[in-house]
Amino acid sequence: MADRLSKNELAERLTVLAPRMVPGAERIENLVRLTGGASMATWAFDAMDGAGTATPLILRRRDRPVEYSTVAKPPLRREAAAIARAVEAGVPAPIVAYVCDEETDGLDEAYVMHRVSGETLGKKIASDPAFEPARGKLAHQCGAALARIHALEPLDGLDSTDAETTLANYERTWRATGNVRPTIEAAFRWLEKRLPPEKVTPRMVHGDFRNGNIMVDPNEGLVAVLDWEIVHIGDPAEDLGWLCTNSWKFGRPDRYVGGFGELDDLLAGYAEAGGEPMSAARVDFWSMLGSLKWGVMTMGMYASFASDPSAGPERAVIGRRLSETEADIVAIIERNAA
Amino acid sequence: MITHPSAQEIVAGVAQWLPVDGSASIFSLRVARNALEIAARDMAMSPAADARAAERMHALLGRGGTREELDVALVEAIRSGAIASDDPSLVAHLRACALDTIAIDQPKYAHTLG
Repeated sequence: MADRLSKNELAERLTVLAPRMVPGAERIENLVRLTGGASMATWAFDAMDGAGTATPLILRRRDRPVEYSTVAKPPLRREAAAIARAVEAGVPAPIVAYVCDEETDGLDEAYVMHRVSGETLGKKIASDPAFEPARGKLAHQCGAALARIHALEPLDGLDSTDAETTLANYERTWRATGNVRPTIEAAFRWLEKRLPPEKVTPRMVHGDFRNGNIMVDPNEGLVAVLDWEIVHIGDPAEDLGWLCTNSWKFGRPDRYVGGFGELDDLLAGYAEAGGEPMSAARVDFWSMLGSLKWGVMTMGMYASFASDPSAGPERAVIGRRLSETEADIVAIIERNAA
Repeated sequence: MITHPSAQEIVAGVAQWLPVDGSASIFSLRVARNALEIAARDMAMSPAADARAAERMHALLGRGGTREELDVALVEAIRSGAIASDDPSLVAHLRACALDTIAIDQPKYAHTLG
């Protein structure tokens, strides 16, 4: 089980490991916590060599037990292996510098990667005028990156799922909430009717490829694909649909891809980099499933609030974001009927 | 009908959490204010929204009842296939519900329902 470590304890343990991350490194400096996800913490620090040269690094560490997800999260060791494999195949992603040994390094599940600079705030990527040049090419670049990810030899031991199983899992979770919402019911039935008729060739999919999990340079566009936490085997259209799910468009629902680009560019980038033929309807199916998935996930947040209201109302408010997904679900039903 | 959480749960939750020793962060106070605003809009707007929804469902299902009862009946009808998920009269009802609900819960959310 992951321990809570103080910042000093963390710094001491990283110092011991520094030479294994960067040859010649003697100590670490500038340790600062960047984000705490649901179960994951991200820290920035510099490995310093004897001459005082800094190598900027990032530590990803599981510091809390894994929270609810319908896809089992692979160990961080496997996440690091997926990133390494993707980088080799030309996917822009951070270079892994060191994977921690859970038994001897004292950091539990963790790995260290090189720090690249770029923007991850979805709202800036979608709306900041400085990112206009990036927006012109980002959808195409994302398509190419996804095609390369989907061409990778899958890692051993990954969870495997498909549209039908994913839908059934979310429906079971939804029923257990006891919530009565006709729109959510309609989304389940709508998707069920449109399940892929033929067997889809399973691929290694990123699982969380969306605006907010990509690093973007204002001029160069895509710099790195991040957050490989739920990499799994599944329908490659899942990744394209999630990138087009309205929950992650940061105020720009008029731009179909991530609030920054157009579907034609995404599909062209995907095809040009060797991706299989992908129809707009297949992407839209998965964007509907993406909205539904986020809707069901908000109920997990509500349940966590209900079990301990003294922890504060933040997760209660997330429960009230179910209505966002309902607006998106109705819009998808309408545009597919038109 | 909006539940999970109800307006009552939100208000009670904020009261149960609210630290009176000044230890709350600005971020958490903003979250609490947002939560109370949602509850206030819910209390102000839900009675009329529920009445409108019930009226539409009377027509859709050909039966009477409270919004709560009619929501249950409508879910059952969609689940059994008695009403198709893309039936135009159902979709028109769901669209009206979505607009009423988003106006209560997240009025600033950028969606594409006109």
